[in-house]
Amino acid sequence: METNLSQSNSTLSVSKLGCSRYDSMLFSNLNFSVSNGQLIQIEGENGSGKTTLLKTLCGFIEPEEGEVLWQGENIRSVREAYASELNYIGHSNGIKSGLTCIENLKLSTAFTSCLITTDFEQVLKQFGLAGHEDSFSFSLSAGQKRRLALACLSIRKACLWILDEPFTSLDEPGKNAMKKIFHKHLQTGGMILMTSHDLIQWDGITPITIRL
Amino acid sequence: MIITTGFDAFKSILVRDIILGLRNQSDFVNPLIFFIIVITMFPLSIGPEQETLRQLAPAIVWVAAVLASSLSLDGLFRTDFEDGSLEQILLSPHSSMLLISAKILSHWILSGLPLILLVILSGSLLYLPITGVKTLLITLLLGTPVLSLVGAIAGALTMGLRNSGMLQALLTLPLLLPLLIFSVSAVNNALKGLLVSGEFYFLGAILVLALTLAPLAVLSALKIRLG
Repeated sequence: METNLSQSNSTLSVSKLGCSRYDSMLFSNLNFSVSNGQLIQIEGENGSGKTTLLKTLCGFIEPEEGEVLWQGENIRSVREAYASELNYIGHSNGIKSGLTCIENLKLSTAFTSCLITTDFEQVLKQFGLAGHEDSFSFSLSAGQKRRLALACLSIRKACLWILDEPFTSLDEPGKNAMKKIFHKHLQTGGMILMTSHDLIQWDGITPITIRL
Repeated sequence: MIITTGFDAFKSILVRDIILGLRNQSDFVNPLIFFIIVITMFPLSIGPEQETLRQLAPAIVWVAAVLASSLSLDGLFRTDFEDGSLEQILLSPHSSMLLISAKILSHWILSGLPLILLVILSGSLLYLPITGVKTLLITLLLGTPVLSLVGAIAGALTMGLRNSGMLQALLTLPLLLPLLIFSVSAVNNALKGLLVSGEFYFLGAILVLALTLAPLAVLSALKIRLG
């Protein structure tokens, strides 16, 4: 997985973004940009619009004001190019409970234009799920499901990771393993945009914090 | 690095949905049992008169097929919506229409295809002669994909709502009336020894219309429900 993710410089930028939910304005005039090797941590109280912001960045929600730009162009007009560089995990893990861990990983071919590896056993081992290859994912604990979701994400080649509370239900070793994976992703030119409730001890990464 | 094509993506969604459907047997088998029960209720309630049953047979089979298919639609998008895989499908760099078509095709393979096989058996139950069964099978072959396609639109629109099953039936059943009319008239005409190509052309046209427009409508409905 030591491949360089992006040949050219990539940027996701947001200009004068404003979003509302059920007729109440959540945030407005939000400006920031992410480029290669940067981690952006979005903070805010419950209900401040963190998830709405991430969904807007993914294009699920149409912003009330402003726009989201990928390489300087609106994400709606460059959907395919944007989607092939984007990995997203929301509140729900996006894994099928009726499939085994390995089957869930294999399914990733549908969600990417480029798979980094097909050595799925190795990937599961890396995410602390060795021995669960053929377990159905409904039999996994909440933390293990989160690990599996992140494992599915890690094998899809994409420069930009948008993660909603990636550390939810992960234990301390799980969090540390994930931080290592984030570190590697940033070093190879990736970008990460994530929300989190908790204060995270980052070693060797300087996150840019945005408060909503 | 392994490059994945649109075809790989289509195939993996298709295989995924068929595996899930076969593993979750109640979703797949229950509508078929419902279909058999509805069909057997008619000879039992109307009586064993050959002539009456033969006349009603195409209508009975078609109404039962439409109801059975609307029962099986509930889970088509709901589970994907709940576990977040729908977001992944819509964010895939591959065409969302292609992936949604794979889902609809898998629904047809699991609900429409077994129904057609059951009809071969149920024909004798309703005293339908072999020419009638043949025509009925062709109408079902042309018509059941339409049930899945139109049903998917309703499934997408009502995804995540309470009482979505009832709402789906109310939305789809009126749209399926032309299908019912042409299919039943085809079988009746075949029994009278008349030409049925006219009805087949209409059914074919309805199928082509549904194939081209339904995935588009489903995609828009899913985007509205997610936004």
